Amino acid sequence: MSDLLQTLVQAFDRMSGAYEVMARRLSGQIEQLEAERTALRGQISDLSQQQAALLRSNQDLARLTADLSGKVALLQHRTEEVVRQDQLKSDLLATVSHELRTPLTSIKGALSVLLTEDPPAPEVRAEFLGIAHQNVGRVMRLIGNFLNLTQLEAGQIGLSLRPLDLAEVLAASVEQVRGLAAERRVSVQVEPFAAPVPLTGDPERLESVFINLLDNAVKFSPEGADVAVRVQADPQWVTVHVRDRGPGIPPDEVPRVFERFFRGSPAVTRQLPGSGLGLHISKVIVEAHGGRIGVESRLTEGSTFTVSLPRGGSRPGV
Amino acid sequence: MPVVLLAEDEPDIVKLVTYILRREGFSVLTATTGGEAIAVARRGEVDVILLDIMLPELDGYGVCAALREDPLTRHLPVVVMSARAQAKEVKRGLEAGAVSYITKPFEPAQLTEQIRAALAAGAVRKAQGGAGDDRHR
Repeated sequence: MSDLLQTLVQAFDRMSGAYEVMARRLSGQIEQLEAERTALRGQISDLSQQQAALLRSNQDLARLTADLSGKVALLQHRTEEVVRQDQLKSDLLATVSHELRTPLTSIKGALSVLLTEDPPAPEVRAEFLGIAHQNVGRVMRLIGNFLNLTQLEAGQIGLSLRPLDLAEVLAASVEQVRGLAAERRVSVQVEPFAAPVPLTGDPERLESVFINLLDNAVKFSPEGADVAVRVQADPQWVTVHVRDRGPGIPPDEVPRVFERFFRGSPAVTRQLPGSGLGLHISKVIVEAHGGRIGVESRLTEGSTFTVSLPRGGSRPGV
Repeated sequence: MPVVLLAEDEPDIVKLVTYILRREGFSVLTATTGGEAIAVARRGEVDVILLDIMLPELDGYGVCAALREDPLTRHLPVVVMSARAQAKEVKRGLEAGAVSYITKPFEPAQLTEQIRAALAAGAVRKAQGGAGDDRHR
């Protein structure tokens, strides 16, 4: 019996020894795992820091890209603008050249005939002198518009304001387009109004405004039609309406007619002389007087241009 | 009497050129649009065409091209008369088939001289077979 007990005790001792060894080994392994876990945690936090940094630089890059494409677009826009201005300038040059050469052809032709025929028949003389005179007027109006434009571009409209009678300015303007109107068999009717119409303004500049409006009205009128001029006056404002029976202005072009160099669709303006300057210059002059210019138009029925001027002229700073 | 077709839309220039050409012994027909010019040319009475470039509807270049394509009008000499005076425009007019290009404003003498020269060129062309396409051979 004691032998059996002894054997059991010895076996138990061996087992517990083995357990101890195993326990020690296990706890060693656990410690190692703990250490690895800590190391991994460190790596994870490093990685997420790196990820955050990458994200930030990504955002920076996106911002830079957006910035750059904004700048590229701006540059492209400016380049297009320069090209457009360049095109506008060469178009203007071609227009000016054409607009000057055409009346000069008539003047030169008429004078050559008058010079080579000795003496020319009276009706030839009268007709050709009329043509020359008429076309000198056309050249002068064109040059007047260009001079006005150059001064406007330089920002020096320089109105010389004085008391004037608008009735006289209107009468002089109508006189300037009589020849063209007769040639196109268009009658210019001024509705009676109480003259004089005193106001303060620059008579030469205002005359060029009304000449531009009347010239357009006559130019766009069909043969035999009339152009009507109507004046309305109250103590503060004078308003002049110039109505034609022309083809009218397409609604999408109405907001653009006062733009510099704007010319209507070729279908309408192709056969008509013009530089696209008259209305732009008129608007600048009227606004420099503190006034307003506008147009109402119906296709196939005609257009009415309206100029309103304050009777006191422009006030400084207004 | 040689017949000139004047294709021009400026009324004053039509009056003056018609007067000058009639005084120099030409008979003058007129057209104020490109389409009208082609229609008159096809009627067969015309010997030479004096053609403006800035015509409404169909411009002078278009008129030249249409005249060259049509056997009825192919042989007709064309003198261009235009206010477009840049070298490239003159070149384009001559390439379109004009025998000469006069820039506005011009001397009346220059006009009649060019028309006589064009008529002579047209007569030569006609004598060579009338087709006027000898430049393509």
